[in-house]
Amino acid sequence: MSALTLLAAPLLLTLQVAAPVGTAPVNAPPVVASPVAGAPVAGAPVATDPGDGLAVAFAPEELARILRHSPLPAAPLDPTNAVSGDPRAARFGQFLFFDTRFSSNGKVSCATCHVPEKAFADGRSLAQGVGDATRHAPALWNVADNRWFFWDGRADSLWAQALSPLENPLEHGTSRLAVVRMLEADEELRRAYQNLFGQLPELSEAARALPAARPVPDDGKAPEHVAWLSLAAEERRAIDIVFSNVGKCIAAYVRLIRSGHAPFDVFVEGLRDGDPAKLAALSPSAQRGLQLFDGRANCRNCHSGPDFTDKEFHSVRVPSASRSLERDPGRYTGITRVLTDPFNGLGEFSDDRGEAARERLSFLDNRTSNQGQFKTPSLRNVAVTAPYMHQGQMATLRDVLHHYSVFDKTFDPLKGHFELTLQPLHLTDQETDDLIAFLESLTDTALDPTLMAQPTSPR
Amino acid sequence: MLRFTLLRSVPATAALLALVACGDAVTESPAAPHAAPAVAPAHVAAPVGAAPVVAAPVGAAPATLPATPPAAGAADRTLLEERSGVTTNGAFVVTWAPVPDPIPFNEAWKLAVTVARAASPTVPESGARLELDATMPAHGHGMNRTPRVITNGDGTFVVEGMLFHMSGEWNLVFHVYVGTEYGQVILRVELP
Repeated sequence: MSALTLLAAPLLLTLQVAAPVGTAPVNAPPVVASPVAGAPVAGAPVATDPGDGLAVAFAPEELARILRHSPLPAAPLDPTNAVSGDPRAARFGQFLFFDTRFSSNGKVSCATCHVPEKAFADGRSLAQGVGDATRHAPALWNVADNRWFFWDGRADSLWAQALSPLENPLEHGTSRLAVVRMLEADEELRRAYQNLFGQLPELSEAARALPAARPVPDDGKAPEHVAWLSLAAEERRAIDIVFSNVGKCIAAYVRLIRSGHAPFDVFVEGLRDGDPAKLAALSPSAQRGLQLFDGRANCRNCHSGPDFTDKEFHSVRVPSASRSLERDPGRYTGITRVLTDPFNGLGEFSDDRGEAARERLSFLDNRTSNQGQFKTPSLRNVAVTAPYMHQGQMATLRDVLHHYSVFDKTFDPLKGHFELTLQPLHLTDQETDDLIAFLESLTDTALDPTLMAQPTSPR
Repeated sequence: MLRFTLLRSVPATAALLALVACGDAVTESPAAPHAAPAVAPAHVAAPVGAAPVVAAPVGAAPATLPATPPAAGAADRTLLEERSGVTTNGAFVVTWAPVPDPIPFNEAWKLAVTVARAASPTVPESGARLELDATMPAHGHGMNRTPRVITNGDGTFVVEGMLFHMSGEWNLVFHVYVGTEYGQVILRVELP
C-alpha cells in the first residue's frame, strides 16, 4: 500500500502507527465536513505508514494543520500602492534601498540593517543606523504578506513603513525635503522618478535654503519641524507626494523578497503528491519537531499559516534587553500612531482608500491590554536571522525555546495582554533539538541574485 | 472581554436583503445610550472617536428565520452548525449567517443577524437592539479589533469588522435587548 492515501477512500484509511509519547492519538475520529474554512476535508492526504520518508505518524487533523503552512502564495499587490507590481518601480526602489545618500551622514541605507548577505537582517540585537535604535531590525522575507508593519504595527502598508526610517534620527536621519532635493539633484534619480510619476515639483527658494524640513509630531519646537511649517501648505503637500512615491518604490522592491521553497515546503509537496523522495526533505528529528510545533507545544497558535505568523500582536512576556528599554508599550502606541499616520491607507497619499484600507483601520481601538504586545514574527528563515524578539533579547533558537519551556507566567511588567495558552512547555532536550531541526527546515534564502545588490542604475 | 457596541442607524426601511441586493449604504450615527436591564452584563464604552460607519454590502442573503424555534436552554452554547438559537430568557430567537460562509481563518468577515420573538419566529423584532462579545475562553482574550453592530431598524443587523486571528474555540455572545427585556445566546465556533 502506498505511504499516502486519501480520506476520499476511507476503506484504505488505516492509521496503524503508534505515535510517539505525548502526541495526539493516531486513531483519531473521522474527519467530517466543517462549516469553517480550513477544516480537514475529504481529499487531504493522510500518512498511513512510517516508511518511505515519514518518520512520524501524523493524525488526519495534524496533517490538515501542516498543509495550511504551505505553499506560500504569491506576493499580494498592495491596492494603496499603484506601483506595487510595477517592475520599473521595483528597480528604482531597489536602487534607493542600497543608496546611502539618503541619510544624514551619507553612510546609512536600508541595506545597513537589512543586509542581503545576512538574510536581510543585521545579526545585531538592536538596529544601528545613524544612532542606536531601540528595537531589533527584523528580516524582510515575505513582508508583503503582513497586515501591519514594525514590531508595534504603527504602519499599515509596506510603503508607509519604508518612509519612517528615512526620517528617524536614529536610523537614516534625513528629512523628506532632503529626499526630494536629492532626487532633483541627481540626474539619474530624477529621470527614474519622472519616468514613473512625472515631473518633480519646483521647490521654492525658501525650501532650497532650508537644510532639512520634516514634521516632528512629538516636538513642535524642533528646528526641522519649524522649518517644515515655514513652507506653504501646497509645497508641503507636493513634497509629501514625492516622499510617498519614494516609499512606494522601495515597497515594490521589498515585495520581491520571498522565501517559500524551504525543505519544509518540499516535505509538504511530498505529503500532497505521495512522493517519498520529497518527504525525505525533513529529517526524522524535524518531522518530530513539526508534530510538536503543531501539536503539544502549540506554537501554531500564533505562528500560523504559510508565513508562520498570525500577523497580529501578543505579549510573550520577554524581559527587556536593558533597564533603559523597559516599559516599551509596543502595540499600545502603535495603534495610535497608525491611525494618525498621514501615510496610512485612508490618507490622501493612498492610491486606494476603499474597502481594504477601511477594513484594516476602522475597527482598531486602544486598550490597556495592548501594552507590551508585539507583532508575531514570521518563522521563514528564522534559523538564519538571529537574534530574536523585539529587542533581540535572545541570541539563539535554543534560548527562545528555553523561554517557552520554563515560561514565567507571573512576569507581566506592563499588566497587558494575557494569553492563557502560554504555559511552561517543559521541553526535553530531545524535544528542543527536534523543534530546532524543524525551524531550520524553514530556511530558504535563495533569491534572484540580481535582487541582492544595488542595480547599476535606477532605471 | 470584547464588547461590540450597538450603533443605531438612521431609519432604514430596507431589509437586509435589499441592502445586499442593492448595495444601499446605511450610515451610522454615534452609539445610542441605553439603559441596560439589571441582568445585562457589564458594558464597555464605545470606541472614542470612532469614524462614521457605512455599511457595505455583505454579499450574501440574510439569515433565514426558522419556521420552528429551537428549544430554549437545550445547551449553554449553540454550535455554529445550528444557525439559530433561543435566548436564555426564552423570549427571542437569534438567527445568524457568517459572510462569507464558512468563516475564513485570519481574514475579515461579517455576520448577518436577525432577531425575532420566539412566539413569532418568522417576524423580525423591529424593536430589538443587539450587542456582541467575541472571546476565546481557552486563551483569555478575544479579537484584536472592535467590530460594530449596525442595525437596520427592522430586527436585522450586520456586524462588521469580524476577524478571528487564531484557531480554536471562539464564543460569540449575542445580547438582545427589547425595552426592558434582555436575553442572551452563546454561539460556539470551532476554528480549526
